[in-house]
Amino acid sequence: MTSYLLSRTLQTVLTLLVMSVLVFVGVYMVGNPVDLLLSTTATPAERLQVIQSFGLDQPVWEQYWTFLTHALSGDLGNSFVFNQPALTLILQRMPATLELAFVALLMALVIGIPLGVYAGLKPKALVSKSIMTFSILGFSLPTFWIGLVMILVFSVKLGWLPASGRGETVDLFGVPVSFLTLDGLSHLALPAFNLALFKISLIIRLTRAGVMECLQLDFVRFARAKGLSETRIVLVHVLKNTLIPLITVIGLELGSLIAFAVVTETIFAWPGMGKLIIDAISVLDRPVILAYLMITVVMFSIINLAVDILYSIVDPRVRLEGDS
Amino acid sequence: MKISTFATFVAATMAMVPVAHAAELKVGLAASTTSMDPQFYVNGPNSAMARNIFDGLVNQDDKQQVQPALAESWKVIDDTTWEFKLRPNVKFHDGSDFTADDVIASIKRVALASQNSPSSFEAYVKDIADVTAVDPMTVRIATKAPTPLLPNNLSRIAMLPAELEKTPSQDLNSGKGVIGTGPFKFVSWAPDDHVTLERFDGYWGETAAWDKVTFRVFKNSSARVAAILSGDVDLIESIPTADTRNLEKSEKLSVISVPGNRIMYLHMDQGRDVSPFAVGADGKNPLQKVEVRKAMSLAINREALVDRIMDGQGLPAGQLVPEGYFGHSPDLSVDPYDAPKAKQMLADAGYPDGFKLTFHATNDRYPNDSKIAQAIGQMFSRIGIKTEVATLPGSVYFTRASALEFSLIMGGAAVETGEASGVLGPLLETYGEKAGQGNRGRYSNPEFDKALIEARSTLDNEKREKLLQTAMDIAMKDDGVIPIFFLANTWATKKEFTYQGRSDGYTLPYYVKQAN
Repeated sequence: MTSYLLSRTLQTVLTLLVMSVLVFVGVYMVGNPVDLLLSTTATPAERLQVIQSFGLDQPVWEQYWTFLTHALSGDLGNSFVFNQPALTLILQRMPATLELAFVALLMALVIGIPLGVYAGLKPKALVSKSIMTFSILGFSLPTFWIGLVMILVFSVKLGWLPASGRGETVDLFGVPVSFLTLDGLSHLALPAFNLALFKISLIIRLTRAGVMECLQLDFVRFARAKGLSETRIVLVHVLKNTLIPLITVIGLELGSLIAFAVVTETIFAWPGMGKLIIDAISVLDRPVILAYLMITVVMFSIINLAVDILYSIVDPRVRLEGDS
Repeated sequence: MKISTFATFVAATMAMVPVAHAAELKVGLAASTTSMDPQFYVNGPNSAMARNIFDGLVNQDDKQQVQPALAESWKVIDDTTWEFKLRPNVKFHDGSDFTADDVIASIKRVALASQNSPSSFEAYVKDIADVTAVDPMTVRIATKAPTPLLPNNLSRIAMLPAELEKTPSQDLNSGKGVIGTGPFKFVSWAPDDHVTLERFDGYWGETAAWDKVTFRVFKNSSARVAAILSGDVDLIESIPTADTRNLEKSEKLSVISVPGNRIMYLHMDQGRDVSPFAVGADGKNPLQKVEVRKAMSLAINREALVDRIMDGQGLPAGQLVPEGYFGHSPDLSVDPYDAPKAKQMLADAGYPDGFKLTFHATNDRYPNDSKIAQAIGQMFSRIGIKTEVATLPGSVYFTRASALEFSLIMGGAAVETGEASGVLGPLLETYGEKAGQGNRGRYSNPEFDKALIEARSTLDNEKREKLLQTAMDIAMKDDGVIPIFFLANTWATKKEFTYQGRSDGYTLPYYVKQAN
């Protein structure tokens, strides 16, 4: 197990290294942030001063080396426009994004799995067909459009839920969370559902396929022959076997929920970290872009690790080994 | 039973809405301030936010003209010496008095705040040689050379308590020391999310009408509109042009639209014989000929652009500053749309069959920029210029435009100082070490430069305005740049409130009033 963890950590470090080189060179090639930030009235002397203070006058490999040595001591640089450490800027906003992502995931599981199981057990029923139609809609309608329609219906026309922002927060172990207050929940409902919609559809389809496949297998017949109740067969035996592919996908999707909740955050003015990256890209605020992507890489690695460990719990045939 | 419970619940929720605190104003902004240090970074959202908390010695009014603020009056002693009389009994938010020491420290602090700044305020104080206190209520400023724009420049410099002279931006960002003399006190800030302010009861002017103001940032324009439609906020800025007509029809909202200070213009490559994207039959650069540039200006139907593409949110332009601005030339009119004449002029200039042109523009920097570029491209095609339009994201575009990789580009310039030299200098002055840094067309006319340079050191306002008008006339006659239109600044408020709007586009809650 230890050697397994060690090799996974090494893999993550390698990924981080490769990613940072790509982003560094990529941003360097796109353009010069000074042209975007400095007003047109600036004199060459002022321009030079800005370029020097950001270290942009060095050759790109030297800039990268400086970044790398600082990064090893935990300093990912100051944001050009905020003049604050990029990492702090992102971490401050992380709780909001994590909360949104986890609530969305929870919604996806709570709504998706039961509907998927039902559709798998009775594929010909009218209800199942409606569920599948709904899932097609969830897949194919663009998130930002649904978000706007939801705001229009629930906030503007009906006035039931607030259209934007994060509600009242309370501190839970020092982290501000909003799901413990009524106001917070009402603010969470629309964006979380908006974010969850795609995942609900995905989980419905995966669960349905898994259930249908399992029902054909020998152990189900054997269980029936043994006289187990149908409820037990479905809830224990079928569901457990369906879970394995589901866990993989959920793991990956959780990562993408956290890292790319940008669209939802923008539409609902949710104060998460996704909005930050969009701005950072448009002004080529390199420290923020780098820090954001590095956090994303680390997050994906952790989630993948968690998924692998979960596998071994759900399916005893899976062993974790150092060379996997 | 169930239904009636639900109905009661809904009714109760509805009834609660109007009870919401009467003296709180919630504002939806389009962009976030990036720092609570008013001297850190010159950009619109930062300067607008600073105006709520801080004052300058002078402030700009809603048409960007200079008005007394912390200085009651000022006079020119000699060519390079100014004397400012400070307003008595002005208090900072921490209760201390505003005196000459604070002025000296605030101006000195600009250098400190400029460290790591992507665009610093040093340009506004670079002409200042020395600041001295004559007495606690009088400040003398010596300049390196005659500087008629000193008051305009000082309107950009926020006054802080003297103790903050050595306090870096980072401290202010954490909320420590955000102390000004403005109508509102700082409460809290989260970057890209919200700013909360409360009324300062000791304000030197009339105290603000709002106990508390909350700004929230809605980058996405649809989200901003949704926020005011749903009642989440009371006031939003920058309505997307496509929504203005719908919002105008709404019974609950009023729309405010005033001509802004940002001019949209075309820059044409005039500095070299061969240009990469403008090629005549002879291989030469046709944009060097003034007749060609004039023909292009006549080919643009400005009224149609404003009406159809901007949904009325703009004002056709014949020069670079709007009416009412210092240096606006009364002799200039907007070029009329006249395609036949344009075609004729093109033929007379030696291009009866037009020439090949690629028109580059941004697609994420100005409202509807790529649509405007497409439309102008078609208008050029109509007079026989074989035009292709290429739009790029700003992050790529500006670097390439500065490197002169294009031949015809569209830009937008705001007159931040409130007078004409603020755009004439950067866009049209002959490019060099110290001048014309935004002159991406490399226009150069010695007569123009002479008038502008003379204006810069002329302290007599009347004479200076004449000189700026002359410079403007010369540049427009040469079509050094082609002005298209001024962008409008827009706001939407709930019917209960009024806001008169500002040409600089700032959203200042101090001036938002309850409607009668």
